[in-house]
Amino acid sequence: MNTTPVRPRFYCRLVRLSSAPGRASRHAEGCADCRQYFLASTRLESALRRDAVRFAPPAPAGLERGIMQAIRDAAPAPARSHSRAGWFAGVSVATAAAVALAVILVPHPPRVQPAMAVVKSPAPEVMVQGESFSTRLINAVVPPAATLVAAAPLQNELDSVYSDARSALGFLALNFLPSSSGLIDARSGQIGAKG
Amino acid sequence: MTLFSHSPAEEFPLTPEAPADEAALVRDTLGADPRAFEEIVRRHSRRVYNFLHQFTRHHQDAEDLTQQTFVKAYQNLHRFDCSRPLINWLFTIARRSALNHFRAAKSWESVPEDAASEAPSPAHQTESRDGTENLWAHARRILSPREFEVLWLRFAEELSTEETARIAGLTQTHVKVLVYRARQQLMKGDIPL
Ligand SMILES: [Zn+2]
Repeated sequence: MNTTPVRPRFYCRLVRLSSAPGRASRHAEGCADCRQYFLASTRLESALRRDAVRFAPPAPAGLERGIMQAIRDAAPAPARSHSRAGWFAGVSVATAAAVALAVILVPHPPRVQPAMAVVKSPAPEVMVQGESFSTRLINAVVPPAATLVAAAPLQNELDSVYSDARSALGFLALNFLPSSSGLIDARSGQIGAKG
Repeated sequence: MTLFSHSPAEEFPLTPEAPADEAALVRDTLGADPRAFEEIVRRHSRRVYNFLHQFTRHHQDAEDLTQQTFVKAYQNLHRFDCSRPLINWLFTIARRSALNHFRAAKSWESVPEDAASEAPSPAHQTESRDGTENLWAHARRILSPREFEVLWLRFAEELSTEETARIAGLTQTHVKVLVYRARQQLMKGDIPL
């Protein structure tokens, strides 16, 4: 095959590089070199397609069985779509936010006055043991509303309501958001390949 | 596709229960139907193996990497974009699996050649019975690994320039230039087409 000119003109090279068939055929009508080039190119592509089939290596015996076995050995069940997980997380957050808002907006019953006398009594052992981790965490981070009321009843009334709301939000977040382990599982299987 | 002489459906007749299209197969796999992914494997494993064999030139490596490809595909099936042909996504995973396998190499350049791969077994023929040389064996000798890869995807796998670019991580212009250069070099030679 020796149909390719050694140094085609610049425009010819552009046409040959371009994959727009209309442009190529219009140009080739008036350019013998390019007609020859496209003819040779078509023959080459056909030969490439032909040899890809003709010289394809036979698949190893048991290829499919081996793949399925590797999947059984290595793979957890394919994860559900992220969009569903995202949807669930979104609904959980929205629910938590709505409940927190409700806690803020619903009027609280009047607190016992005077608050100066209120002292946080130690909880019975059985109750402490029965507390959930989230409750203990919230208690550690958010001061009980009664303590705030005791310190400055008028000024801190709003703060205590806010504190209640934060507690409710924290509790809901800890108990109803999807567990982080699920997200980690999903990420650990991540690969760069994107569909 | 002309890589195989028959379509996948001809090679592997579907059972009446099997879903007809890929999106359904993917959906059913995600719905924990074990037969659905088996069908995906039956349809595409040979092409993935062949693709990997072109670059590794090693039967066992190609087989191991084919397994890895399908395991990764299975584990990440929820990420698959059903608007795209599944085989293209599998090629993308296969290519990355191979590159990871030969971690030292940034491309195919350092992929070791299987010494036995050029032995005159039916699996590695470089000449047909009528004595004509395998054009791909010739291409592998004279083209850069990048040029070979792009040429393979375009003409053996019959992928579009766009899909080839996606799989190879190149721009479409880069793919066109590589194909043009590869063509030029192959047409320079005196190979009977
Ligand atoms: Zn021209």
